[in-house]
Amino acid sequence: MIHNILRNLGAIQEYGIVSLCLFCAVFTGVLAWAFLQRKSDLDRMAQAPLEAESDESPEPSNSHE
Amino acid sequence: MSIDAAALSSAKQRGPAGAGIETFKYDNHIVRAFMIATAIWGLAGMAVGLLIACELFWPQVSLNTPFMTFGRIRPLHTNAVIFAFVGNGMFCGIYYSVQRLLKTRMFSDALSWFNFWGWQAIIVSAVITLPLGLTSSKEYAELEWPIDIAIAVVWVAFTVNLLGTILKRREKHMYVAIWFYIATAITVAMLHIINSLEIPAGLFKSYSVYAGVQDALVQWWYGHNAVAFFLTTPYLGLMYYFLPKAANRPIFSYRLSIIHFWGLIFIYIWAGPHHLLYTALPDWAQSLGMVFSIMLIAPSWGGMLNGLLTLRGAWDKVRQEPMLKFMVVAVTAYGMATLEGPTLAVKSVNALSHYTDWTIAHVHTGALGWNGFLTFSMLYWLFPRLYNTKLWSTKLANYHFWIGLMGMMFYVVPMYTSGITAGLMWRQFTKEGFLQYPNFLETTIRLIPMYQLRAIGGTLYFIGLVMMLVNLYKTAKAGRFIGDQEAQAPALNRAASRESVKLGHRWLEGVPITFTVLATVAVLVGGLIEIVPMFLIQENVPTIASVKPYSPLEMLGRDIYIREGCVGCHSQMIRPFRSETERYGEYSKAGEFVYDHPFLWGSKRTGPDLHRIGGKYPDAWHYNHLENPRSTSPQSIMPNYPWLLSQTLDTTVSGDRMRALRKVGVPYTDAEIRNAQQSMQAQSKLVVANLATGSITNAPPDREIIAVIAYLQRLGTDIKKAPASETSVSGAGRDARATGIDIKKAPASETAASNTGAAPANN
Repeated sequence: MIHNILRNLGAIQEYGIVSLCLFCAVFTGVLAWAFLQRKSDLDRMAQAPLEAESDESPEPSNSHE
Repeated sequence: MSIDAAALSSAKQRGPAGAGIETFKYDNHIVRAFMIATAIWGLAGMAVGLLIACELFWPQVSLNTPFMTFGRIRPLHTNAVIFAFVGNGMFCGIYYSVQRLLKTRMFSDALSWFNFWGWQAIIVSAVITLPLGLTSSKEYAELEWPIDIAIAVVWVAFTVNLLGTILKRREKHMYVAIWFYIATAITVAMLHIINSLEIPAGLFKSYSVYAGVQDALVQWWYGHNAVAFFLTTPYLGLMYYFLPKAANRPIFSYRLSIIHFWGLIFIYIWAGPHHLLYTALPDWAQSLGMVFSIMLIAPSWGGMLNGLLTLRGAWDKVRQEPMLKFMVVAVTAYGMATLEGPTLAVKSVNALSHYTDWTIAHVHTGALGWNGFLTFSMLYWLFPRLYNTKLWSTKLANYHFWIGLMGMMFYVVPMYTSGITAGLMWRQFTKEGFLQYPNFLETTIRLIPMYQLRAIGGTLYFIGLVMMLVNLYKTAKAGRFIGDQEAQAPALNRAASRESVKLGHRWLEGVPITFTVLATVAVLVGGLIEIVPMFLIQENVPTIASVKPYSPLEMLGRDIYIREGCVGCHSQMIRPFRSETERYGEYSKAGEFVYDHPFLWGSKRTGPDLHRIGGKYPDAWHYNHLENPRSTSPQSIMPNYPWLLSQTLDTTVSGDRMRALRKVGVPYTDAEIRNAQQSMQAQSKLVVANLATGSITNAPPDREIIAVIAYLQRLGTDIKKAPASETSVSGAGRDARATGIDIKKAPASETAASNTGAAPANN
């Protein structure tokens, strides 16, 4: 069945245009989605790597210079 | 023991049920194991890289042994640096950051160690099999079928461990780094399985189920996305984790990271055909690949800027912290490579750059800059922390930074020069309309100083790596390893999680299964739209009646061609440019490759294209050339292949191989398989007779070189036997439109042009 559908799509060159439209729709959707997020939520999430153990931050040494 | 104040604070926000504090231990043993493996394999992979770099201006360094020739060990270098160095680095960073971001130990220690030892066993098997010539010949997927199965099993174990850890997490929301890890796990599995579909023809021999154009499309869909989802997305995850940690400030824009992630994984997968511009791939697929490659700049640069802008107001730290210096160069190299990649995907630029060292320069901007420097940055950060001490020498790390940077420059600048020089020389015509440099060797010789400079660059980079290893070893010796690091975090309140369901991205970050499904759909769409039509629509691969399967002897010769890695230096794809048809003969048609399992189009011309080599030289020329290329082509940089003259051809495998090829669609009949031995003997006698006319009277008919000559003499000749009307098929019509050449007249006129093209295009 899929074979038949694809064969009947017409000129294969138009396939690229369909793909492009699909991509533009998805990308625009993601942009809109990202901009609709609450800033407070995003700021909280951005802190995740910094919520770390206290023993993870020894200062670099210059003792062998 | 450590406790996370911010986590406790967020636990309070979740309500009373989430306030129960749990104690657990991070597994640092597995992180250390991958760290050490990264360092060791980095050293090995780059040493092999240096060796093959030297072979390009000093071919004798291979010592005339089959196990050290450029063709065989070039895949060893690429596999070692990609899968061993970057692969172990990726696992190292993922195992460290996932535990901390999700506030839990890995799902299963047993799976972690299975992942580690399984991966090392795969690498060791590559180290053994590739120099032995056991290869599928598909770039970055050379390993033979038993190893392919092992890769799939180990990768599934890693994916289960990753997803299991996510499911047992104590942190409700998945940070952006985790998204990139999820995309890596699912996409690499998909790419590897689809590209590795092959029919075994013995323990270490198989044939791709795809042929010709379809094989090329699947291979470069895999190859391109292996760069995307093995070398890029996991490292972006590491960037999003380690850069904020080192700079001690959050990522510049979390909103931008959402766009970066979804934009990147959705677009990247479409761009594979940009590796096949101006080949026999249908035009629509080429254009699709080109357009999506250009659009890829948007998410890539979004990510790059997100990384660099994180350092706003913290550039003083970059001066003090070598780890940050490496990270800044890594992110900058990512930006450069992701701008250059789309530029190279523009057809007019690609016409110049393809098959040249420009591609090598581009790849190494990414490999040495992005992957290499980011790995170094991560190791400099991790070692002191896991060993609870300070870095042994900041000064030595700074020296490493500068020598590594110089090494990169000395590598890529000569390669850009070499690539552009070769591209321009290949297409240069005289005023009279003849090729200015008709002998391919003229170009090769011109590039040798660039190859020598490149080896200096590689040596500097390698010295920097050794300096790092000394520094890290000394750091480890001075400290005390913390294998199981105790930590505390509040338990995840799943009931509260469900209560807060909404359709924002924050909600999606809290539902890992839905997230994984959506990411899978995002990567699948591009792949399906690109590949499925190639298999279902007949007009994409027109057949040519005169194109027939290889004879048994030619088939075995082709297998030796694959074994020796000839495809690493010689393409078999003549593009529809006058400069190429003048040099090599008629341009290649999709229908000529329908029995090629696998395709051997190649991606680099260190030597000339061989698609129309059949009938161009006498058999004796090939015999002498393979024994010692400099006997026919003075100053050639091709290695000697004396073992082809001494090793007996194993004809007993022909039946199994023909049956395997029949399973993938090559129409060998039962009679042809039954009579293979007689067929091979008859064809060998013909080759030996031809050699005798060329003054080679002592050639035994049972040697491997006889099969190789039979194969080379067959290449590209089928179409010459065809009446003009047979070649005038729809696919060829596409090429003709692109070049303005009348296909019905093309064979005769172009062959004539080629024959009058003065000196042969030899190596």
